[in-house]
Amino acid sequence: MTTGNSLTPSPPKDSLPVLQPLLSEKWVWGMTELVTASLFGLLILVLSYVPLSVSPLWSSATNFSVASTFPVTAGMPETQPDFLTKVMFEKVRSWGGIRALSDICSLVLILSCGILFLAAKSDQHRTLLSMISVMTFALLVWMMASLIQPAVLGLLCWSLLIWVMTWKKSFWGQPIAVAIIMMFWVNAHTSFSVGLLLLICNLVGVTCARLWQNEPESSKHSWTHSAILLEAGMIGFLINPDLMHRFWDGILLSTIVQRPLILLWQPLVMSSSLGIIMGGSWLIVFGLSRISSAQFHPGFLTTWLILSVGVCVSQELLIWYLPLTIVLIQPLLADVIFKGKYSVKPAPLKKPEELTASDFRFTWISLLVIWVAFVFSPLSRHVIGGQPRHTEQVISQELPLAVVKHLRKQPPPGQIFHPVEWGDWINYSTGGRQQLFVSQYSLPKTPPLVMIDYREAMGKGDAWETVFDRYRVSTAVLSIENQPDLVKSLRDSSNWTPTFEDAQGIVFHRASLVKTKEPEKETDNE
Amino acid sequence: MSEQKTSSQLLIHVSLLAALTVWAVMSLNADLSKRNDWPTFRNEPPTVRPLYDDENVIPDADLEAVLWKLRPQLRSPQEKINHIDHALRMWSPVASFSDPNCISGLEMLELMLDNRKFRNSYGDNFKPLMYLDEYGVRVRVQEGAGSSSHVDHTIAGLSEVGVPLDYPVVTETGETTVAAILDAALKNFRINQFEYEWSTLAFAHYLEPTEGWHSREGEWITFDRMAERIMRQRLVEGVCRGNHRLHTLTMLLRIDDNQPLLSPEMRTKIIAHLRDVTDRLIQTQQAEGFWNPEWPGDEWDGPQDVEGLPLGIKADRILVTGHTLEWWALAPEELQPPREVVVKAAQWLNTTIQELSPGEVKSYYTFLTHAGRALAMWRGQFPHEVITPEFELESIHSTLLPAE
Repeated sequence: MTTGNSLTPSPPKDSLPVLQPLLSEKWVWGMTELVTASLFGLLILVLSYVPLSVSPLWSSATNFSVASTFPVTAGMPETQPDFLTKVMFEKVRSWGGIRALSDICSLVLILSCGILFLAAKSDQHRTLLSMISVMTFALLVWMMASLIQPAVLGLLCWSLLIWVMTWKKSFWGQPIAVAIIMMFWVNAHTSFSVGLLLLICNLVGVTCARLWQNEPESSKHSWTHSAILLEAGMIGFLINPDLMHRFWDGILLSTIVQRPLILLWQPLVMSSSLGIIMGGSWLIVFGLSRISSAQFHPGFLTTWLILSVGVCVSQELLIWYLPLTIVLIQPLLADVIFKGKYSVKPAPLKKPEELTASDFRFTWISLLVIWVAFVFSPLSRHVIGGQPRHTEQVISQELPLAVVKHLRKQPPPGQIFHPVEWGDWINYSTGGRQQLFVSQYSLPKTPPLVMIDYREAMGKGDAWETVFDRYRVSTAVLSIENQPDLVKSLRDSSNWTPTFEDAQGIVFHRASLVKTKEPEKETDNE
Repeated sequence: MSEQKTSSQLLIHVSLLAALTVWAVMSLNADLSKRNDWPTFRNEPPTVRPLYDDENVIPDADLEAVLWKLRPQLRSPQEKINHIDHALRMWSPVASFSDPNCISGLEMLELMLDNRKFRNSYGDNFKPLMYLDEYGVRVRVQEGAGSSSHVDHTIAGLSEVGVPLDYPVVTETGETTVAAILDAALKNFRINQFEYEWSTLAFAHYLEPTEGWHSREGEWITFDRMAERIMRQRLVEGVCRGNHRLHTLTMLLRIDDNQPLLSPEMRTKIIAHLRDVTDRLIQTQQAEGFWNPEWPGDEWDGPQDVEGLPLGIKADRILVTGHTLEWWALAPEELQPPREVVVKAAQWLNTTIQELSPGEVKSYYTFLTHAGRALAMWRGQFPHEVITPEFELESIHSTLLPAE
C-alpha cells in the first residue's frame, strides 16, 4: 500500500514508450484495397444468398443408398467417388438441415472465389483488377446457380489447384500442395479429371513453350518442375481406397461411356446467354493476345484451349472454363490496362520503422467492411446468433415445392417417373421413401439403356407407354413447362389421372389406382 | 555438363511418369479384369423334358394327326427364317420326314447356321442372317423374311433343342461355332433391354453355374435379377401375350432343380408369381376351353385395352392357348391347374388345329408350333419322338397325307 506521502515518481514524458505497429508494411492498405475489400464484401453477400436449387447435393446429403431409392440402378457398382462430399453434406444436414447446407455451399463458394482472387493477383499487384475479374466470375456463378452445386467441392479444389500453380517455384511446397489437393479431390468429386488435365496440359504447354521459344530450362516455366507437379498429382490421384475404381466408375463409365451419349451432350448454343459469355471470353483472350506484350501461362493456355473445345460439346464444363479464363487473362489484361507496369511493385511510402497506427486506417476500414458484409450474410448466424431464414428463402423456387408437399402428404406406391432434375429434391424431401427413376446424383450409376428409355419417354410420340410399362411406373411427376408433350399425352390417356397440379408441376397416377378423380389444386405457396 | 544434367533429369521424370502410368494402367486392368467376369459355357445344354403323360389331354391318334398337320412344309425358297426358327424348335435337329415338301431338322439348322446354305436359299438380296460383331456372332433381327423375329430367339431355340456350343457356324467371313452366338448374346445383354426372355432362356441352358457377371453397362447380372425383370411388367406385355416370359420362368425353375440358378427367395417368388398366373387362367378360361388375349383379367393397374392380332381372334386364341399349355406341360405339380382345365384347352386346340385350312396353317405357323409342341409334351414326348420316319411309313403317311 502507498501512503499519500510516498509519491511514486512519474517517468519523464520523453521516455514514454512509442506504440509500434506489429503489422508489416504490406498490411498498409490504400483506397484500392478498400474498394477491393468492398467488392469482396459484396461477393460474400451475393454468394451467401444464392438459393439452393436443383442439385445432386440433395441426395448427397441423405443417408439413403442409391439402389434403394433408385431401383433402376440395382446391380450397378457401389463405389462412391464422392464419399468425402457425401460425408460432409450428410453431417452438415443432420446438424443444421437445409439452412446449414445452404451456408456450407455459400462458404465453399466464397472460399473458392477468395482463392481464385489470390490466384489472379499472384503475378502482379493490381488487386482491384483481380477482384473485378473474380466479381465478374462470381456474378456469372450466381446467374448459373444450378451449375455451381453439382461440383461445389470440385470448384474449391479447382481454385486451389490453379492458385498453387501460380505460386513461385518452390521445390517441395508446390508438389506437396498439388498432391494433397488431388488426394482430396479424387475422394470428393468425379471432376478431379479436370485437375489431372491441367497438370498434364501444364507439362505439355511448358515443354512446347520451351521447345518453340527456346526458353532456357531455368526460366520461369520449367518443364522439370511441371513434370514433378504432374507426378505429385498422379500420386495424389492414385492414393484412394478404390484405386482405379474411381477412374472407371467416375470417369470412364459415367462420363466417357455414358454421359456424352445421354446427358453430357449439351452443345453450347452461341446465341444463348452462356454462348455469349463464351464468345465474349474468346474475343477477350484473342484480343489480349494481339495487343499485350505479356505472355500467357503456357500450362493454363493449353488447358484453356482444350476446355474451350469441351464447352462447345457440353456447357457443363463452363464452370471449369471460367475460373481458368480469369486467371489466364490477368497478366495480359493488367499489361494492357497499366501499360506494361503491372509487374512493378509500388514503392512503399514509408519505411517500416516510420509506420504509425494511422497508416493502417484503410486496412481497418477494409476489414470492417468485410466484417459488416459477413454480419449481414446468413453465415454470421453461427457466430453472432440471430434468427435463421425461412426454408423458402433458402431454396430456389425452381424446385417443385408444392408437388413434393403433395407427395409427402399422399405417398404414392410403386415407381415414380419424374424429370431427372427433380429426382434429388424429391428424394431428399420425401425422406428416401419413394421409388424414384433417375436423378443427377444417381446418373453415374444409371445404366445407359435406362437413360435412353428416359429420353424416349420424355420425347414426343407414344414411347412413354412402353417405357412406363417396362419400368412398372405407377406415378408420373412432370414439369408443365419442360415436358408439355408428355403432360398432354397423359392428360389425353384414359389410363392416367391427374391428382395434383399447380403452375409448376403435375402428378399423374394410374387411373385404376386412383379413388377420387378430382385433382387436388395447390392451396398455398409452401 | 549442363546437357548431361538435363538428360538425366529427363530420364528420371520420364521413368517416373511412365511408372505412375503403368501403375494406373495396371490398376485399371485389374479393375477391368474383375469386371470381365463372364461366366463359362457348357457345351451340352440340359434337356428339360415334359413332366406329364395324360391320354385324357389328347389321345394318340389326335396328337399324330395334329403333328402331321404341323410338319414343316417349308422347302420353298426364301421361306421366313421366323418359320424355320420355330419349326426347328418344335421338331429339333434330329427330325426327318419322307414328305418331299418337308425340310428336315438338320436342313433347318444348316439354313440358319451356314451362310452358304442361307445364300443358296435367299440369294444376294438378303443380308446374311448371321454376322460378326466385336463380341461374336449376332443374329439379324426384324429385318425382313431373312431375319429372326426376336432378340436371341435363335440361340434360345438352339439351346432348347440341345444343339451343342461347338456346332459349326459359317458366316460370310469365316467359320466359328454356336458359342460365338452365345458370346454375342451374353455380352450385348442388358437387363432392361426390349426383349430379354429368350436371352435368359439361352443363358440358363448354356451357362455353367455362376454367381453372376457384370454386363457391359456395369450391371451385376444374376438369374435372380433376370427373373425379377421378367416378372416386373404387366402379365400381358411381351411377345405372344406375355407367355414367353412365363415359359422362361418355368424353365428357370426346371433347370434350377438340377443346377443352382436361383436363390431360394427368388424361387419362391417365381412360384408365387406363376401360381397367381395359373389362378388367373383358371378364372379366365372360356367355356369352350380357349383363352382370349385378355387372359390375365385385371392386372395390378387395372383392366387393359388389348389390341387383337391382325390375323384375327381365332389366331389369338390359338396363340394364347397353345403357349399356356406349353409352359404348363413343363411346370411342376404345384403350378398346375385342375387337370380338366388342361383337358378342355387341349381338346379345343386339337379340334381347332385339325379344322385349319392349309393357308391358315401357313399364316399361323409360328404359334402353331408352340401348340403342337405343347400337345406332344402333354403326352410326355417331343414332336419328333411322335412323328418318326417309321411312324410315317407304317401308318400315317398312307392315311393322313391323301386326306389333305
